[in-house]
Amino acid sequence: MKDSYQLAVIGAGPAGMAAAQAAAGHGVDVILFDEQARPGGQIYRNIENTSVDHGLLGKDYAMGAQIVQAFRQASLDYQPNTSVWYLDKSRQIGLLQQGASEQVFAKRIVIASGAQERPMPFPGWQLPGVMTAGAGQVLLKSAAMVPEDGVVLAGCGPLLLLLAWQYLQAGVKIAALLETTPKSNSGKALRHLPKALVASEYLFKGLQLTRAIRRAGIPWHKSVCDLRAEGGPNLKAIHFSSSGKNQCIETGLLLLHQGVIPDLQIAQAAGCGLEWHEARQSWQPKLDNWGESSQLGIFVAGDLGGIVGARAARLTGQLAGLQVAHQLGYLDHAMRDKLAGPIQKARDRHHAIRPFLDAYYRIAESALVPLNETLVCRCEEVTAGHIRDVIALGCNGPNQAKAFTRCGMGPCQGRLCAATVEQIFASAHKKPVSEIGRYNARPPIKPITLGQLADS
Amino acid sequence: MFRFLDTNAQVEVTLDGESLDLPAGISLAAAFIAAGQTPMGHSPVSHSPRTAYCMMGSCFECVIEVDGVNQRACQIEVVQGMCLRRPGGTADNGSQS
Repeated sequence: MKDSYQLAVIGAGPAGMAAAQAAAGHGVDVILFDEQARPGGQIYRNIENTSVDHGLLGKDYAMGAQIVQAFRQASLDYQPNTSVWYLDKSRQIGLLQQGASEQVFAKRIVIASGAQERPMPFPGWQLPGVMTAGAGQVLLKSAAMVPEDGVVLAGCGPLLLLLAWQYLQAGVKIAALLETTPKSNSGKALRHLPKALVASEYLFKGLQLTRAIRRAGIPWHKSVCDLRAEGGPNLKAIHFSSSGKNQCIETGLLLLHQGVIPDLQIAQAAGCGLEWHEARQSWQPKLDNWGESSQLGIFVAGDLGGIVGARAARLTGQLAGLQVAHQLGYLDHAMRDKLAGPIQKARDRHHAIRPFLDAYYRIAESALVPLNETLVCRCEEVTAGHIRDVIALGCNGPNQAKAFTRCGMGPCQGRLCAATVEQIFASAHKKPVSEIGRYNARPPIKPITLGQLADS
Repeated sequence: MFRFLDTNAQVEVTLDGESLDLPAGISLAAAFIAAGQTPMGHSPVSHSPRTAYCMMGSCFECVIEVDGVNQRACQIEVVQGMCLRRPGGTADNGSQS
């Protein structure tokens, strides 16, 4: 590794790979860092190695094979198994690789850290045996593992349906699908449908998944609320109510999902300005049309810039890569625009489905603000009730709540409680989350020992 | 909780001083789950049982001591001879490990 590069890309998912390739293709000196051992991000995770039949995982996953292969052939410096624990606005990067810390400078940065699943807190969600649907997919793609019979899936969003479909292909017996999407959503989503028709492949895919799940005869409970997991030490049962009836299913595995939100940690640490997206109920970096953030020279691509899906992520990566090549003098204005035109058009087509999906899968208000007894911060074991107590004492926002309660100060650094804490504040103050603000994120944004820090 | 679609080779590790066979070629967290070794550890504050939640590096619930250093088990591959210690500080000794 050199001390300095023209472009450093963080993340080897579809957006990061595309940004790196687009810039490198025009002569930019590119390095790419990724935490995983192999390229593909979460979506194409382990695509080069998986022993699972690609047909079982679906067409969208299979598409990743070609994308990753092309990335492998690009002339750039690809650094797998590398964590970025530091990034500042002067574009100095702190890395951790095989237990050793290093520093690199880059003239331009593209952050493509992707998304994380939105936390889904309810009483008992910390029990072993309660995991995310994304975790289920990681186990399937990277370890060829599927649930033993009797798994329950709960929440809302396309990923939940996709996972159910994948498990059906693998012969897994699903005990129940607990859909928490509010009934009123479909009516509200309807007005976005005409615009969504230009990206009708998403709608067809959704219909296909839905039909397959129905045909398999999986008990599918709708408008589910009041989830409560019970057990000890491992999960034993899930309680819920649906259509006004309290029900209980005995199970040792519950997989949760209620959409994905941008993984903001690195962008925030670098000082990129954020904006609140009301329909998605999440923060995202403020970006220009090329993906450049409020910190000039630092770009964002893919789901980190707002959830867009893998195919649009790739296109936003290409646009960021082209703009970097232009800013560094490898592409003139006219050539950049000529190349970017069709990409922007394709990106906008994929974006057209989002308002419909955002409205259709919008989370129930009740699911955003948990009951008092629910653990909000799993690391420091702070309950929603404790947060409400300090709000009643005059605590003015999420950052002060950290100091009062240690909420968000554990090893996950707020990744699993930030979204919930800001909603509790918003609901208590009867203000939109945009006026509540968010935890600050500061380096080190990934765990590093004092010894490693001292050696860097 | 989970089963394999195909068969897996095994590696031998030490967990809290005792020898343990885990499936090879996958992440340490996946191996724990496949081997039915749950809970993987206990929370530092109330000592409540925990296991990997997100499997993609966000939640830190699978942090375990690997050859003397705390690491996220979902982010590293299980390797023959690994020396593992479960986390499990309790509220009364204030341990955060």
